[in-house]
Amino acid sequence: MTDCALIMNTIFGYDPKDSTSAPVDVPDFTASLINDVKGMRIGIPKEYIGEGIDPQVSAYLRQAATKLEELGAVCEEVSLPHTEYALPAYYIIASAECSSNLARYDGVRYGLRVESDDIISMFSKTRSQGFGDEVKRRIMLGTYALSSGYYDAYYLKALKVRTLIKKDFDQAFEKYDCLLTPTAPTVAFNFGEKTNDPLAMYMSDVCTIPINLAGIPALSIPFGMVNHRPVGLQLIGKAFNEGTLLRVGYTLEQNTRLTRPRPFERGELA
Amino acid sequence: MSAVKYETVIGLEVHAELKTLTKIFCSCPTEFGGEENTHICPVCLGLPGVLPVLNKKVLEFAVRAGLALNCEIAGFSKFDRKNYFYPDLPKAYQISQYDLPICKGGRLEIETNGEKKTIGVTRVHMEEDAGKLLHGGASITTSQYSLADYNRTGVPLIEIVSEPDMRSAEEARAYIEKIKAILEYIDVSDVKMEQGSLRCDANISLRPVGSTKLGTKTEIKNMNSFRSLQKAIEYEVTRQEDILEERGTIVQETRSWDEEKGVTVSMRSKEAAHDYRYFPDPDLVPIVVEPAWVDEIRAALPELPEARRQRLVDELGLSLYDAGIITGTRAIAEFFDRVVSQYNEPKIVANWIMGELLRLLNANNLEISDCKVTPDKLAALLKYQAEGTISGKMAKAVFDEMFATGNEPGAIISEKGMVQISDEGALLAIVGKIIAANPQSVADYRAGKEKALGFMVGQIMKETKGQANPGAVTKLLKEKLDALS
Repeated sequence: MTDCALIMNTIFGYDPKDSTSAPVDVPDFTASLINDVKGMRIGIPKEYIGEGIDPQVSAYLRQAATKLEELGAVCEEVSLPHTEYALPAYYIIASAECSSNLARYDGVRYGLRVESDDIISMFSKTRSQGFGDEVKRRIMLGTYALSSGYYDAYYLKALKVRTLIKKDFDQAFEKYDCLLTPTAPTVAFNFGEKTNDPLAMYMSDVCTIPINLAGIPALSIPFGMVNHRPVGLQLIGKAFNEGTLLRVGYTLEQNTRLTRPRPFERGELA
Repeated sequence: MSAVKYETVIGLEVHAELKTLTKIFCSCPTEFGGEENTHICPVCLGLPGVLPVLNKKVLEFAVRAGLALNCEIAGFSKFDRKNYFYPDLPKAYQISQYDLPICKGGRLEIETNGEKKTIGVTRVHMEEDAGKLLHGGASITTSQYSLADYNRTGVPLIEIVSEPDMRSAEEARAYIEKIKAILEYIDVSDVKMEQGSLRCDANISLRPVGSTKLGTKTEIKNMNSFRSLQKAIEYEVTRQEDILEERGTIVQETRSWDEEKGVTVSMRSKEAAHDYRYFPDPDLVPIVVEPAWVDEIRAALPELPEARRQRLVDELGLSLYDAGIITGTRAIAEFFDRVVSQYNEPKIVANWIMGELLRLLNANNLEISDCKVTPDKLAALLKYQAEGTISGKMAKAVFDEMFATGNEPGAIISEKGMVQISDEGALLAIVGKIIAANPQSVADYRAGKEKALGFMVGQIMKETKGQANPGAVTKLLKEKLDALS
């Protein structure tokens, strides 16, 4: 957690060349490395521990909650009712942006160019040969979602869902200092295991995507091992409230060895 | 023969390049010309990973234009991406404004044949310009290669969209001339159609007189001057009329004006129209404009053409027509003011500007900013004339010389020995000489033939190489002749 705070001290801050960057002062994050969670209120969203979550992952999450309570925090179940719509909304918004962001790879100025008889076929051959399947899938999905006649039903709707998701978090943070969830629904799967099943791949992002949609900070910490692979737990905080996450993470780190799995050293990796 | 009479309905989309020092989303210069691909950086080239940051001056200029066009300024607006593939567009999208433009609901007054009319301004929005392609052949589809110059990429533009309120090519021309004058007055654009800093597309449809429903429209592009705008609209109206007369249907399409052939030709139909897939640009944040800032910009607006024209009529006694020409561009109006401040005869100054100055500018295809005759020099010339140092005819000759060389009028007058002879003693000697040399004319004059007097004045002018003051000569000659009897 100290490494994390040091890196944050270095890379955080306003970037005048990024319009979306916030002109907010950067605190000294090492000051948040406090081994104390007494009186802190931590919410556990029930939508993140139910169906689709590996029971071994939820077991570690309960273990972390118990530890935090031992140390004086209050852990309670909370509901973020729009969570199930986060993934579909994200894949519409992200694909739409991706279809537009990647349009510049057209073979005109840099990168791959597949020569052809005319400009249109040069564009399409270059893009057909240059992009892989997942990128093409997202470009097509995003182009469709932005097309005339579909915009309102998909892209605009997804933006509205995004607002609802952010409101869920805003409401939860009225009562809680931070939220505790798994980082991923399962432990890491084998390399290449699910690449032929895009939907299963998308599902593995289900716990982290709502955070990106809401524009709030989260901290992922290792917590225990399943099948020789580390489990990740996620702490989610209010906007610009990274210090709280570091404090809870640091407290867990100081009070349990579960945050320090070292599979590579032990040679246990399958 | 059809008895149906048609009404023409025209709406214009005007693009003006803003004369900010730097581009809309990066710090590259906006300067026109320059060696190809020298005014570029990773941002305007759309290289991977770069982000746009709005140039605040662009927003200020857009607000200024909106206020001058009587628009409401939106407290909240945003940028959107207009997506399409073309080699002159490095990101393959243009950053523009779609449903929440910076300015809406304006209007402006035009005048044709002495009649005033208000034209609605639907909206004014900000966007970035694209680059320029130089084709190896006639077009991108028929060329072996095309070269891309991205100097213009990211130069700020405003697009001004009118309501379909114009009813003739003359009204459309009056509208674009008014837009040009206003943008020039408020100093936000160079507004040079030939250089492309002012561009215009026209939407044209016809409908039976009395109908309130709009007919099918065509959009005309590629008009590079006021004259070609007027000619293109006139051609397109006739083309549509001919189709309707023969009970045909107008195809909704984009057409291009062919200046050489004097016709519009089809570019693409509605079916082939692009789906631009507009969506809010996630790299930029919404634009929030504080009312206090808008008030500041409003307070700093210069006098607009209409007000200036009225002032010249009310305070300086110019005719409405003359005042209209003098205030037609800010540069001419300022030139006029500066001459008048040194030589307070507004009507004489106006006549000189409209007659001599504009005639020579037009004949030489020059702008007033290129003119070698400064307001100081013109005022000096007019003073020489008023004092009687030179005649009106001489003044025009001196002016031609000033226009060509930029020399001071005083220097030209003495160099050419153009000083008018008004001295009575000097003139009397010449008068006596001419009377002695022309006994027949003297006799004719005394017999009551006034023409003879004119002949003798002419002789004196010839003798003095035009330098004698004709008024003084006539007076002296008459006195002498009358004294003979």
